[in-house]
Amino acid sequence: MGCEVVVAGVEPERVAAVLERWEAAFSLFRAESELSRVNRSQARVVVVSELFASALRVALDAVAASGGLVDPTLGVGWGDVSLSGRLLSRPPGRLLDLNGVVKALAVDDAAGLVEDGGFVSVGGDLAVRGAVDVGLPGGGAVRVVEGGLATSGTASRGSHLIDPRTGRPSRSRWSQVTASGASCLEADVAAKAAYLLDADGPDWLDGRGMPGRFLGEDGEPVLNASWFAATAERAACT
Amino acid sequence: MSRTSRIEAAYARARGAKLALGVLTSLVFGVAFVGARSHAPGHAKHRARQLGAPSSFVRAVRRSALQAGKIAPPVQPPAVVTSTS
Repeated sequence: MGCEVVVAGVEPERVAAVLERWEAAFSLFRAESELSRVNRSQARVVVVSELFASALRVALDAVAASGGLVDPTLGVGWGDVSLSGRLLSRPPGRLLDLNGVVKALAVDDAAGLVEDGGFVSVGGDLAVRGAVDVGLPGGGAVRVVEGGLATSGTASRGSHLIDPRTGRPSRSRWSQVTASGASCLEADVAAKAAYLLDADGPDWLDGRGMPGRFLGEDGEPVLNASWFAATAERAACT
Repeated sequence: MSRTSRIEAAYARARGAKLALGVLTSLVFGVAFVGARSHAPGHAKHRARQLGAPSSFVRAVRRSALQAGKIAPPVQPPAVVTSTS
């Protein structure tokens, strides 16, 4: 997937095999991947594999969960993409990019192999099995007790996130948004949506009870209420 | 054979023919009806059920409520770092 993989509590080879399975199916840079074949097909309806169908279903669910902010169609609209069983229907030429959810799905898939106390991190998005201390962008750390943690933003690759509302590269006051979710996928969807929502991001996450940490251009972290409540050191009993 | 008995015989044949035609018609209708119910898409094959939301819709609504993870203050040096990739 072209990014750093860090694992604990599992043999790296087993994680590599899981990640390779997802990469082989969903890479946009491999001509023989299923995603590339689907994008090349001129048929309106194509039969896809069970893995592809399940990932697309998750991507369409992510559209709903994020209010359309996480879009699997390269920012040109998901309204006429539909899935019935393994039958995918979309206008020919409509390019799908499931990488917005595939990396997180692969992390959650690989985390199923991990023993207690271990974790899988791919490019900084991680899922844990037991408590793990994680370093945060701009300094500081947090203990992830359950679920996943993901960071979205423009810090490492510039403005690569497309805002589906405009179809253009995103503009946000945040350079990086880190969110905590019940899984890596949920954390990833939440972090992307909160990043794109700009000033409304902290409240949007709070409305869902999700902890979020926002790093502004000045490098100063802003915590939403859920993050603050979860990480504030308890006053010692006297 | 007398004229009366020939007419009665004709009536009897006509009654038999009408009966046979009626039975045949009922049989054809019955076979066509059952066949249509089990094969034609416009005919109900099962008892009608109460309308409910499609499972895909229910799933989408359920997933709209993103679930939070659980975090706490750190107690050790970080084992891994989260960042954009």
